[in-house]
Amino acid sequence: MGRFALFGMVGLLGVAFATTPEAAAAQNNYTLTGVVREAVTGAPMPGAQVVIDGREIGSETGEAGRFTIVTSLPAGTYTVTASFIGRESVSQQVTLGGESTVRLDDFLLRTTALELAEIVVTGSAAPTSRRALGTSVSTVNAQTVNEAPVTTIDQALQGRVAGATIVSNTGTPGGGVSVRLRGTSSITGGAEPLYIVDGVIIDNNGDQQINFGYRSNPSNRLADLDPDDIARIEILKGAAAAALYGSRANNGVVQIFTKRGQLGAPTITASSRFQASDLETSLPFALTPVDLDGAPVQRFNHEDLLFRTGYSQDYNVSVSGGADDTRYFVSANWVDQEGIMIGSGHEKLNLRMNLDQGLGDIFDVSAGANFINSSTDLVINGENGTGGLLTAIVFTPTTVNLAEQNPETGEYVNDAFVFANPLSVVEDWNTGQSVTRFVGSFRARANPFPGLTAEYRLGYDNVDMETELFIPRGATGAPTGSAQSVNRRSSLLNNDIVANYQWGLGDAIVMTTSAGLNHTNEQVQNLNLSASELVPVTENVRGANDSATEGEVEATTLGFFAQQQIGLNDRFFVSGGLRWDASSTFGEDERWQLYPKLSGSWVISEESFFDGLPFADAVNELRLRSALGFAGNQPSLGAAYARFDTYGQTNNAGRLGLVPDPTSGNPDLKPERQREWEAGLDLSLWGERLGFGFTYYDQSIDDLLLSRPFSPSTGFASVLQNVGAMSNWGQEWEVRGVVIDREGFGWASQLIYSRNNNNVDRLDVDPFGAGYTNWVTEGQPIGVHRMPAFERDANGNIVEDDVGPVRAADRQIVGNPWPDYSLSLSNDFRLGGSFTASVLLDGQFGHELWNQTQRIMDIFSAGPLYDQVLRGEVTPEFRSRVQGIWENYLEDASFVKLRSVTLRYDAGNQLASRVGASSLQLELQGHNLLTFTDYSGYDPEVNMFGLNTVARGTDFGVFPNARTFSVGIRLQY
Amino acid sequence: MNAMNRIARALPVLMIGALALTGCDLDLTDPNNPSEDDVLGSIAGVLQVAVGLQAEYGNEQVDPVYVAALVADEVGAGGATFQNIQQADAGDPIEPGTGPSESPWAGMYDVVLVSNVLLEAAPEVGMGEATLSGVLALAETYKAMAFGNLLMTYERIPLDVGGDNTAPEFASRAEGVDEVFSLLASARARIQATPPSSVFEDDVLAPGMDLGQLIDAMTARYAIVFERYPEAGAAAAQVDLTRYSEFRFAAEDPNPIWNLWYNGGNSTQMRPEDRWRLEAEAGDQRVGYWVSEADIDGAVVALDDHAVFDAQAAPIPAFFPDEMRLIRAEVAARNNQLTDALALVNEVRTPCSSPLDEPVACLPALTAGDVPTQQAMLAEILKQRQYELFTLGTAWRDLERFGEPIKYSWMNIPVTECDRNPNAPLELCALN
Repeated sequence: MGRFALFGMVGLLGVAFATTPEAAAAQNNYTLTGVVREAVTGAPMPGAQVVIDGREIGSETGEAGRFTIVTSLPAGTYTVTASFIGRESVSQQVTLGGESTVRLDDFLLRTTALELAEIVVTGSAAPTSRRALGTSVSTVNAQTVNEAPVTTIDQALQGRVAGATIVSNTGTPGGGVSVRLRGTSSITGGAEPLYIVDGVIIDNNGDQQINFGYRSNPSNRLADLDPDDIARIEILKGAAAAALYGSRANNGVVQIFTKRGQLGAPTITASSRFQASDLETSLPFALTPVDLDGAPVQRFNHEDLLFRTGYSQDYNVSVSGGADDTRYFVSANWVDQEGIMIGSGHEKLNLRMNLDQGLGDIFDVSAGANFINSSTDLVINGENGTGGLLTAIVFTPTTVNLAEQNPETGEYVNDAFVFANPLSVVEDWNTGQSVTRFVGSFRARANPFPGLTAEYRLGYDNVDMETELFIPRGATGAPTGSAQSVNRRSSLLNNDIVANYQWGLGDAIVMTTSAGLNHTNEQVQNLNLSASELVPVTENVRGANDSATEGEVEATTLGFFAQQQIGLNDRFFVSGGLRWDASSTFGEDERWQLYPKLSGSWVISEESFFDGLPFADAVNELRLRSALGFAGNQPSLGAAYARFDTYGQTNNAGRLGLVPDPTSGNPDLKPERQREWEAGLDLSLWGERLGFGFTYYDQSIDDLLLSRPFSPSTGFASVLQNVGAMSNWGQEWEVRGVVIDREGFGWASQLIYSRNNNNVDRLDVDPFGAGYTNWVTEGQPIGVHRMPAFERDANGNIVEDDVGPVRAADRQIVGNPWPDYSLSLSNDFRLGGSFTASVLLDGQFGHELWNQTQRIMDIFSAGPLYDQVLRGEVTPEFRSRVQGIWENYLEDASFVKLRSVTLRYDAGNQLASRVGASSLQLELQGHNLLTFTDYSGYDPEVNMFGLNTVARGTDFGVFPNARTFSVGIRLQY
Repeated sequence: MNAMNRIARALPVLMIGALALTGCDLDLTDPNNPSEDDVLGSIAGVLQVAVGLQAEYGNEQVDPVYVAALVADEVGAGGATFQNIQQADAGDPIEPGTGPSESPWAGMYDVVLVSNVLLEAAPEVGMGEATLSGVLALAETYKAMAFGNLLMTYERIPLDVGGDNTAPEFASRAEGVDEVFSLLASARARIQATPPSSVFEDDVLAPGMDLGQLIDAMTARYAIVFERYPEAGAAAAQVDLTRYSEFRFAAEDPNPIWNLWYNGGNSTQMRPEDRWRLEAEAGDQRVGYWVSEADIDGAVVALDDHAVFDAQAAPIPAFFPDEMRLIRAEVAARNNQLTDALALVNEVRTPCSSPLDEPVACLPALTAGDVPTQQAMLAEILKQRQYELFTLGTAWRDLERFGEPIKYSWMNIPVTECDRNPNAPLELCALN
């Protein structure tokens, strides 16, 4: 009840508004409107920022490049600047007098290599121009996200963000992307960033609920959002930038802004896209048509049974506009996606409404509502032995004909191997997941006089997720059938208040003082129903034996923050801040934690002495920046009660008893703490044709939470304690060039390079493993591959005997699942006024993937090594020896993917008007078109462990990412 | 003034946020599991912990029992899967870190923890004196049994243990043994001074269990095993032999020996060694009570099948009346009172039936001529103990006491204790 009481308070706010607005003498209401266009083609640019300089009051352009700024200002002359990522910013003067609505001239933006005028709002209490930031905040614009031929936002970010390792863990339709910003910052806690949409902290859980070979079906809930709704994304990569988010910020923060309406007649945008996806490669199954004795035998390629060309469609309609003090954006999106593996698919409906309403001269309110309903047909894979599809084919000898049906009963062959026939699984079993989700936001802002704003934000994210496994009566291994349904209901609530006051000391010094507080509450309820001996025919969880269990978790965080920014001559900026926060997860004595930050930025190229330097003519802008900050990380929600000593239920001759839980409570539990320092520079040269950004960062994470085992004489098994330390350090380089920018042809290119190093510095517990091969030990990167390895001599050569290579006595550390560095190259071309094209290459280098898929194929007479035995190339003894040496299946998984190619034709007004539209665009796209790699499995990018913090780098029957071709049309009215 | 006015009007924005925080509670409790404060803060909670203690012991007692049976060659590994147990069959040291080396320690200290919780919390919660007497006596008895079982398996153990003490000091063996008897004596004195209430007897004490009888029987058992003969004889004489106490089980808490012997299906971990059946005195009916003849493949030694504990709810006897007779016989024999000893031995040997579910030997009575010397009498008593108390946990120490060859004297202290407790004596951490 308590958490909803505040909705009532919103009503109270309404009463407050009803009091008569009385304009102050010095202040008038103004509405500024205009259009931002591409300088060369004149095309409208949605997603551009337009800001009144020195006031940090602004707006983003909508679908038709239009913007509306509603504000209350004293009459006078102001500078208004329009900016867009990758474009030179443009300013114009405007004089505000008696007219309350002012139409500005069109802003024409040219391609540029560096952008310092952009306003960033995440991580600083007040909107801040990029030039004043001491950290390298990455931003991604609408165009990049909207136009990527993918269905999830995180996929659209692949290759676009320096310092981010974004991996499509699986090709399962409906998501499955893991994002690490500047490496891994935890061991037992989560390592994925905090996601915020329009001020709402959202759920990104990867809960699989039912074991469908769950570690091979990793998903994440960010996939629910519609990329077409996105206006902008800001990414804070570590503690230095994210300190104001306190104990939730160790892993960085990704804030997503959705589109909002602009003043004017309604703009209707409709788009649709058709896709065809298929499998890019195939596995080396043993198909030599002889048996071990050399006698002829028929062999079957089961891969052909499992994969298909999947067809998908994606429709999107949005309407935006506004009149008087009201602006709106509404959109609807429907996706129907077919996976490349039989039985897999995903359907999603996404509705959104964003409203902005001015209320008199002081207030304005905004509200957003996003409703999502999706259903996903999952396929079982990976470790699940009883229904896995890929699992079945890698475990089945190629002599078995899986497609064979009993002519009498129509049943598929089932007795030749230990698993259920994948074809019967797809036909008869029901393995689905459905999500119903509501994300709502409310914002009230007051601007009582110039310089002061106070803002209240409420965010609410409610996710109802249900996963079902229905195995009908008569299925293999389940003659009476079984059914399971797991419901997860989560709600995240956040309340924020922030007040900013901008003031000056003379003309030279601009001060921005901010203070605020932030409250979050997260609740998760899990309900697990299962039944066996099913009631015939029905598909509900009903049977002679049924059971239900429930689990509930809740966590609350409360934080206060204050920040002071000082700008000197608009060239030198210093900012300091403090966050003081507490979480219910931690013990009372350790609960309140202080996270300070300090940063500086110096646009040195604008200093007078700079002009005298010899290279000054070539330099348009040179900025030096550095920042230091602290942030925290909470344990995963599952450990929300780890501070308590609890008791568990036991039975004695049928009587209920209680005994202490083997995990001892830790009343001194506190957050993991990260200290991050970063320094870098931004440089643009030769008329902003070449831009260059560099950042070095160094993170040290202390008080890592680890499960520390107790001496058994205590009677307890373990306790969660802050006993580890780890570090990440690395560098991020960005080079952006406007190679050609002429009337008929334009070419801009961007290269991003980032390298992260990780080391486990201190581990006050025994080294331990995770997944199949990952190992955590002092002095090594987290999760290094440790496994049965080749015996090697002093020179590192593999020792061999008569049979073949010898296995080392002990497991050895033989590789790292984390890439040494990643590199991406994007190119954008413009041909004439109508054609644009973009090509993105994205690569990761220097990491190893353990190909358990192939090892299993070899062991179960389906793999290439077995094929070599059949062909007489190696002995059976060699095969059995090598299968036991896991290192034999550890492969270099470095890859370069041709991530996306887009060709777009803008038909122009004349052609568009024939269909009654104002603009018409056609798109031809490809995603994951080519993979350059030495990895022998389907896809070097997969990771069966999804969002798992430590376990990584194993491919075991994981659904590979698809190659996708699509054609799309976009109309605007 | 105007500016102040405008600020004042902006206040509601701040106010709603501030009000939102009234719903902010940082002191959340775990809705899934009761906290220690909840449990130990109420009489009902403490009584449920007393039930939990009996469940814990009922379940964990299997570990020291099977390890002793393994070392004394009563049972052997049922298949090659159980490598560490096969090592024991072959007479090799049991690898540190494996189940037989670790689990008796951890299991018995779980029991000690629950006992300590009760001893500390029960007097604080305000329960009636007669109920408190029962709960404390129960906690002392089970703690004594846990220490007793530990001292039958490990040479020295820490006594002063508790949740916060991760580095307890190891006591000398004599101190350890003293602690077992002082706990049992305290329990005995408690229920004599204040007989437990009907609440305790009906709702707390497990059905099938008589606390007074259990205290006496356990005093007798540990006294004989730890060679404190006068105490053993006195305690055994107090036990009412017309009935016995047992640990009962149900589907929710299955018999742990059943779990180990039958729930493993065809790869059952431990089975009786043929040797035991073959070395029995001809006609001893107890053989058929305990085992059934079988041919088991893949084992290091020839094995039979179990014939007891074949159901989830099968009870485990806390002791058999004949164990008390044999204790008294042994005390008499060691005092060279051979006539008394012979009478007691014959009470064990001769019955062919029993109103209780217990093994009966149905063997001919012996005459003084059959066991003419103290040595012969002790050998006979050992034999009787081996067939009466098969796989009940005393065989290993019996072999040692009667001077028979044993594979090794003690289990090493578990690696987990040695690694995490800086006070674990290094010499006890070595391999067996």
